[in-house]
Amino acid sequence: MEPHQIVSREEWLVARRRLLAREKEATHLRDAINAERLALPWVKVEKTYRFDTLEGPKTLAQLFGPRSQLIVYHFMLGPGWAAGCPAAPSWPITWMAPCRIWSTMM
Amino acid sequence: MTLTAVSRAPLAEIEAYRKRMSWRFPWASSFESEFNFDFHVSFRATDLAGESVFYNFTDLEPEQANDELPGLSAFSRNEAGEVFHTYSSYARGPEELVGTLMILDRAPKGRNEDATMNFVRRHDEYEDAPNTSACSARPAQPPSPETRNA
Repeated sequence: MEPHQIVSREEWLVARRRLLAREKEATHLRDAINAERLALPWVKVEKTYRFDTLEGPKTLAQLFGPRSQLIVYHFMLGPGWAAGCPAAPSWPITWMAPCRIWSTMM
Repeated sequence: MTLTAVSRAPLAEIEAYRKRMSWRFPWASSFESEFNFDFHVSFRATDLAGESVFYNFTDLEPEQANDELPGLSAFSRNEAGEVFHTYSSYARGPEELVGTLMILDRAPKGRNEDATMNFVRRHDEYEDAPNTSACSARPAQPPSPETRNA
C-alpha cells in the first residue's frame, strides 16, 4: 500500500470535506443519469426467443412471470464451459459477486 | 420486477454449475436461441475471425472480445403481451450491481486489483474454503483459450 500522510483530525476533516463535495457531485450526476436512462426510447422485440428453464421452455414474454418488468443478467457461461470455467482471472468470474448477492436477495 | 440470469450454455450445464455454487436465482438457457447474439453478449467463431465484433455499442477488435461477454438488459411487457427492449449495459457498465465492489472501494486498500476484478475466486477456490461435500464438483481446470473459442 502507498504510504499515507498521517495528520491531525482537523486536517483530516478539511481533506474529507473536499472529497465529500466530489462524492456529492457523483451522487447528483448519478441521479441525473438515472433520469436520462428512464427517458430512453424503447424498441419493440419482434422475434420470439425461446429459453430452457427448470419450469420448461419459456418465451421472453414468459420470463417476466406475472410482472411487467424484466431484467436479464447476461451471465457469461457458454456451452462447454461448465466443466471448465476459467479459474484464472478472467471475465466469466466477474459476475459471480453480483450473483452471490442476488442469491441472498432472492 | 423479475430478475433472471440467462446464459448460452445448455440448461444441464447451467444446473451443474448452479449446484456447485449453491446459487438459487432464476437462470435460463438461451442455447437454441438467437437471444445472446442479438443482444451482443455471444459471438460466433465467424464474428471473432472477422475484422470486428460489436460489443458495448462499439466495434471491438476481435482480440479484445471473447465468445461470451457480460451485460445486462431490461425489458417491459404491456397488457397486450408485447415486449420492448428498454436498456442494455455492458462491460463495466453494470459495475454498481456488484455491491462487493462498492464496499471494497471504501476499504483502505480499495479493490487492490491490477486488472478488473482479477481477485475474485469461486467460493470453493479460496485457500481456506471448507471441504466440498461428496456431491459437489471439484473446481475444474481452466480450459485453454483455443478450447473456449472453438
